[in-house]
Amino acid sequence: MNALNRLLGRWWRLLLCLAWIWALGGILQNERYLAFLRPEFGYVIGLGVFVLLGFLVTGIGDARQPGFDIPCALRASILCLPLAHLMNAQGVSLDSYAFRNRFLGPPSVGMTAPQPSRPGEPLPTEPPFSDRDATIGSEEPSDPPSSAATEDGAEKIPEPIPVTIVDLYYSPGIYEGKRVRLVGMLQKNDARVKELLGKDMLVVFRFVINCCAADASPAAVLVDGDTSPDISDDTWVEVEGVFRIQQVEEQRAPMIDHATLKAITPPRHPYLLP
Amino acid sequence: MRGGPGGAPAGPKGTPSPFLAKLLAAFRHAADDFFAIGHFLVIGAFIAALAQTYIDRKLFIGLSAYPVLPSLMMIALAILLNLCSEADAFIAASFRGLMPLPAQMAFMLIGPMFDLKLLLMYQGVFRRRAIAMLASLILAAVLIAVLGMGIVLGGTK
Repeated sequence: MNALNRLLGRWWRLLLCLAWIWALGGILQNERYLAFLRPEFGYVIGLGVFVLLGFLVTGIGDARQPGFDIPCALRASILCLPLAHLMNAQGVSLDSYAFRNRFLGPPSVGMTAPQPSRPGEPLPTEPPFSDRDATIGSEEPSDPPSSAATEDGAEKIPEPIPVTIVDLYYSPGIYEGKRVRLVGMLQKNDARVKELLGKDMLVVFRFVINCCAADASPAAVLVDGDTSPDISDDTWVEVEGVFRIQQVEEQRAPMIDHATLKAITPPRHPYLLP
Repeated sequence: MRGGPGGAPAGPKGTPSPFLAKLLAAFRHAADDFFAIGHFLVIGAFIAALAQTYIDRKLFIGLSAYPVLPSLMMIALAILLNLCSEADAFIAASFRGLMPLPAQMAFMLIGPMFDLKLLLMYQGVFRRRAIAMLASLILAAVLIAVLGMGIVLGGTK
């Protein structure tokens, strides 16, 4: 028993360091940290791996022979818990459950529209929030295409403008009445929406994060359109339709009208970043 | 390879190079700290995750309308949770947007100075009167600070 105690006392820290290095290296290599962190924070995880390697090297050379008692076992078990979670939570990001807990009803748009920093300066043309996926937000938001007639006189449906949900919050005036296309997760039959509007309406949402999933806030739009029953809650969808502002009590809620939805593969970066 | 302090490799004359010895000593000290308090951070993260998962934000809308109640609630939470200052920051971040900024600040200020764990430790060193004085001073100072902050910032979250 004493030999086992000495053996565990000598090696438990090193084994724990190895396990953490393996786990952090794994989520860094597979970019799984994007499910709960900003992409830039990959460097911080890399720094963590470096520090753990330092712990490992000093631990190997440590001549101390501490014992392994119950408090040690408890500490080691608690430090193993995040590793168990990392193994179980593969490919999981915030979804409609978090949305229901954090969503406070249809938001009011245009409340924090960007202002020129000095009188006379033009408004910023870059959207204040970014979607790191190359397919969305790559076009100039302030130059939307307008309706045009074809040679045979029929009205041509304009190409939708790729936007993020938060672009609609910040600059509703730019997009109102225009066809837009955006990506988000689908939420059907939201109780608060039904309570406010008196009818069921689809909601498409994404989370905006500053640092990590702990500070994620939902950004949502109402969607008036039909969807296939095959598309369930938490499915990533691409929505195309006409953006307009719906008055809900005293709030101006963003809405996509005459919308069509199609299921898409989840984007590489699930969150919107300021 | 055990030529110097902290197991630092020996130099040509049997002594570790000063920079390497200091670096290894720093890593060893950091490792001791990590294994001594790291579990508090995990517990803090777990409580934060529970709060994020099970607390409906709607509950806080009514509460944050009162001027002092959110700060008092967050002070009580900080005392009861017994978290280290790193975990305090983690948990305070989870209340971003839910509670007024002064209440989050109250949580951050109280945690490192006064909690149940520290109260037990103080009893081994100080008399009860001194502990009561210390606790009263900390609570009063934090309350005054967050009330002042509330007056300046209004209902900022």
